[in-house]
Amino acid sequence: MAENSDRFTFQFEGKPVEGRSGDTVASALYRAGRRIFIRSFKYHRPRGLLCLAGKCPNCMMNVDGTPNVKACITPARAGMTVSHQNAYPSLEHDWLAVVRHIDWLMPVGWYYKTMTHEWSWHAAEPFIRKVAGLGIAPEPGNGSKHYEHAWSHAEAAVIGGGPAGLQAALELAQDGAQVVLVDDQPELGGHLRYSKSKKADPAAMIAELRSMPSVEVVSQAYCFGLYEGNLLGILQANPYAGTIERLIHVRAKLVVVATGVYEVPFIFENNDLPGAMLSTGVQRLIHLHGIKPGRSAVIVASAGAAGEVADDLRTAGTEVVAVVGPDEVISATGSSHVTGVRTQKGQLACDLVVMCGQRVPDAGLLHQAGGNLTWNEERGAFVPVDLPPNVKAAGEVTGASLFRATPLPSKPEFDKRSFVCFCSDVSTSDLRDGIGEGFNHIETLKRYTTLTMGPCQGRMCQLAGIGVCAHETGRTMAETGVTTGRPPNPSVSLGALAGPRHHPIRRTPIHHAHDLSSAVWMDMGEWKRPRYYKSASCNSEQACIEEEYRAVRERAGLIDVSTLGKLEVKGRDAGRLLDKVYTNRFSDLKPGRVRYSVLCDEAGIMLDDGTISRLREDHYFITTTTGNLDFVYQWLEWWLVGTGWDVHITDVTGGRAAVNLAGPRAREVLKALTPCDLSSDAFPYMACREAEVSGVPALLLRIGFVGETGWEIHFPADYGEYLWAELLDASKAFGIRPFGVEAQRLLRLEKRHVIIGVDTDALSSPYEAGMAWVAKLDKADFIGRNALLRQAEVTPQQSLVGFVMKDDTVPQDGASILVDGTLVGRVTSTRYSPKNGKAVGLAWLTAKSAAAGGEIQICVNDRTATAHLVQGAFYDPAGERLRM
Amino acid sequence: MHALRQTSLFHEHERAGASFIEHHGWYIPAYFTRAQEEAQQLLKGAGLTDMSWMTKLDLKGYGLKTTPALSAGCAWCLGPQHYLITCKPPERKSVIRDLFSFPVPQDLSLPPPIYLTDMTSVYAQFLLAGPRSRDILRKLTSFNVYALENLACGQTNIAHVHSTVLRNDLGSVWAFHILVSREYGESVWEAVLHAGHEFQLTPFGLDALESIGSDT
Amino acid sequence: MSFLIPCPHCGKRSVYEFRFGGEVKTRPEPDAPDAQWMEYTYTKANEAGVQKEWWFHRSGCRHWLQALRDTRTNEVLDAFFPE
Repeated sequence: MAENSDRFTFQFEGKPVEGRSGDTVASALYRAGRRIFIRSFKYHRPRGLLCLAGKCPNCMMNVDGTPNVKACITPARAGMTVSHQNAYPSLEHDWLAVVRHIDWLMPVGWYYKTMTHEWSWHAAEPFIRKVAGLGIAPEPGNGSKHYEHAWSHAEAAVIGGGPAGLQAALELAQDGAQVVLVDDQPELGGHLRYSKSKKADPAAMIAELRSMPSVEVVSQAYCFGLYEGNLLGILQANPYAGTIERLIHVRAKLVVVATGVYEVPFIFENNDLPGAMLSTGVQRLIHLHGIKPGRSAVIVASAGAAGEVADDLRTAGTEVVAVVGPDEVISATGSSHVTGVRTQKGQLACDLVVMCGQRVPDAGLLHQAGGNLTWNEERGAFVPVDLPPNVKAAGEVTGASLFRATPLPSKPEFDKRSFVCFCSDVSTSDLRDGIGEGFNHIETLKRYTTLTMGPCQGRMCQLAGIGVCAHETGRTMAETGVTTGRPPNPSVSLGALAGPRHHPIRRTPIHHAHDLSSAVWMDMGEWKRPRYYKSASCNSEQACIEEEYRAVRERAGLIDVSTLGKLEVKGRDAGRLLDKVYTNRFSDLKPGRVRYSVLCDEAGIMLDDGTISRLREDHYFITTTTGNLDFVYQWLEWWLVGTGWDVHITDVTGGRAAVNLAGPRAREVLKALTPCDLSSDAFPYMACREAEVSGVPALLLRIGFVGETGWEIHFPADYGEYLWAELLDASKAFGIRPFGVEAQRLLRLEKRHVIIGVDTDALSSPYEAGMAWVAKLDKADFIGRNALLRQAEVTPQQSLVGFVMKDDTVPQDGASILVDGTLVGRVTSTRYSPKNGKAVGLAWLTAKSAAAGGEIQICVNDRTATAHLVQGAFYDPAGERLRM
Repeated sequence: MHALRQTSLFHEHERAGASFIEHHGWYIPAYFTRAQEEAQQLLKGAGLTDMSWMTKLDLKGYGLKTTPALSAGCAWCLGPQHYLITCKPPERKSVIRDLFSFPVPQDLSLPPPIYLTDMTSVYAQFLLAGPRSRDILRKLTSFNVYALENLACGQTNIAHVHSTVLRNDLGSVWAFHILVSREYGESVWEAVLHAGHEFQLTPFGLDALESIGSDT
Repeated sequence: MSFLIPCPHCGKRSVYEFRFGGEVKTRPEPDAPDAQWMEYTYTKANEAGVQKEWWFHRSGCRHWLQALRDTRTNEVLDAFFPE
């Protein structure tokens, strides 16, 4: 027999299932005889198809590794892999269904009632996590599939592809608007796809819309949020092969919500049994998928409401046993599937219970947008009113065509197995108990019982829940009101929110050369920096770092400092701006000279530091610390606004490679590569020169973060690897080597050079940090001067001090400091100093302890180690080596 | 000195099997696979090429109240009295001549009307071109590239990185120059290629660019 | 929070493109009394209504602008580059 071209197979629980074109995962499984689709969240009750429209939680499955996929709106595709969730070993034989028979042990709020000791939760948690809940999140980095983001801008966004949405989109597009039409079903058309009593045929409208270039149709996508400024969150499933979901941010001038209505179940005992289905779900099975939904059906409907579905059932070959009113139904009978209905008139045998339930406007988005939902007695619904400008409702979501199916609040039967909320198994008696315990406001009742808080976000349960609450509290539906609607609704996977993981990485122009030198990388914000370089002669990280350290102290070392922020400041008033913003003075700096300074805010807190070189009369060059570039740029620009000064700041960070060549032999190395006179007479400490290095135009700054004679060389990034190689080449004869951030931190710590933000925090002033010299209080004005003037007058409350350990202990950064058993401070940076043969470090101490001097105790693991305080740098306190 | 300039993508191109040539003092990929295939893919879907060798000049100052008139290159307005000039390296001299050809101000107390900073090394510059180029960009930025007219520019984030987008169509083919600070070059290039996977986006070299009639 | 700010150079953009810079205040003269400096440095009006604020267009033209924003509705009535 020839295989039908519209037939294909996919895998369910490892077994092949036949799908036909137009099938969803759920319809194919239903045709194949599957009736249980999920086990319920709490009691592991069997559940089957209910709405077939993606509105209820009853068919969530794992599809191709993604949990909680609604099988009823996911098109079946050849080769897909589907499995169940929240049942073991299978949906039919779920061992955990034992919970179902002890549901009386789990009253509403039973966590609060039973987990009254800390140990009880710890004991119960592993079991609860296993038995309760939804699907299992996939392992990180699972496969090659990914999530995507996209942005869309439109004059109008229409949510809902039913007749009203199609009409609205068409009219807007015909008026010339750019329109985005979003629909959550596999195909456009809304209820016209399956409700054959309506004569209208959407095909012509759909064809016309698809032909218009100004209309973007996004199918199989739901809108989970309508945010401020008409920003819509749209989640599209499987936009193309290999992509799980695409999150589209739509910004629209006008939003038309045409989400229509959905049907909700009646409340009676066992109303959740597989085989109890909503009438629209039954119609979908019949008309969209050509499936006979059952052998014999009992229709539950208020007077006159059953006609359409009864006709459909008969046409499909299902016997209609009886039509009963919702008030007549006592319970559905059966254990894992409906076998009949017990009514006030007697028992009826059937394998299908069709509920012609109340229609509810799907108005969540309108509620999110700021509209109100008010009770309309005649329509039996909360209808949207008071919509904000630029948000409109169209079609059935307005409630205009609704009528009341049953009186509300109805008098519910209170039973542990009459389910209001299918997502988290909340029954009428749970609600009654919750209200009885004092949670009698709809908002507190929601939080206590988790009503409306599950995956369907109240679609199935909100109306009935309000009904029960109103009945039990003696209020009207209007007085009871709805709970506040918030996005996301329905829920959104975290992967979709995270997106395609395009984490920006900043690489220096010398990055790949470091790889060749076996760099071990570390992250500094978005930057990658060599922490140290692996060396064949060293067998540990510590040994490598020490070797790098010794190279700098004894010969010379080379470090890539391209991550420094670099700003060009040009203009006649450049010095004036720097005088205002930095604590130091720059208008008197001579061209060719460099000066260090810090930035303070108006409270006198140090925000950043760096060197400023004056290249020409109207041209300064600033370096900022690696992480603070954006801040410093914004800070300078901010203080410039409105001054009318002639200053132009340009961020050239990316364009300049920068390396620091430092150590006693640095001059010899550099001399071979540049015509620049490097002698201290011609090029003293804290001077800058422009000169060629290996033929590359460069700016040389003679500064010394690591405490040795050295030059920071800034040059065009395009020559980064070239000049790095030239410098290493020229260094070979001297035993000079590259060094990383760790060695640099050790070197600077020996010099007691403070790193702003590491050794200081959001409360550190220059006075406390022992850097009073940076504040030029004799300047008429600068940012922070007023606060610093006051601080200069008072004794600081804390001080940044230096310490040397007495024994071989190396404490950790951040360790606590004790004096006589009292906490008096903390360590900010500490490293083993080869120069001192002991660990040295910086620490904040209370002013009293700092002034007392002597010894302190530093906490190291469970004991304390002694250190003594020292004044001045741990290495070359006079700074002679910088000036050699 | 005989060193050539490397763009931030030099190693990225190497890994992609690029065949390099010298172009205005830079190492630039001539082709990755075959120029003809690369050009066809560009015209059919989209292509991405490294244009970091283009000269980029930043102009600021009160002399820029109107767009500067240039005999070569393009002037892009980045803000009030703030322009970016892009041109081919040999055009740099004439562009600078154009810019500073104004009469010397009468009032010598006034500051210079234009301050110029060469940004060629500061920005990595890519060209994303082809009929699907907009559909790729919409996956990387909230900026509405569909509304950007030819020879207009916008500043926005692309793949979370601050970018300047210059639309400069290649004849009738949509084409966007993307400028990001050089250190982000590889990261953004990879993000664009990743987003373009859906449309078979591939890198192309100078040969393909020239074959579709672009003067390099 | 997803309102739009009309950048005078770039046009309407999402607030996510901007960095908030606080209320627009006048910096006291250097010799102003301490109380005035205290007020300027540490206090905020936190208006429930329209207030004038600093915003930096970080993802766009990288200019500081001032905006009149109604803090109750997040409606931005106007945005401009200060002279």
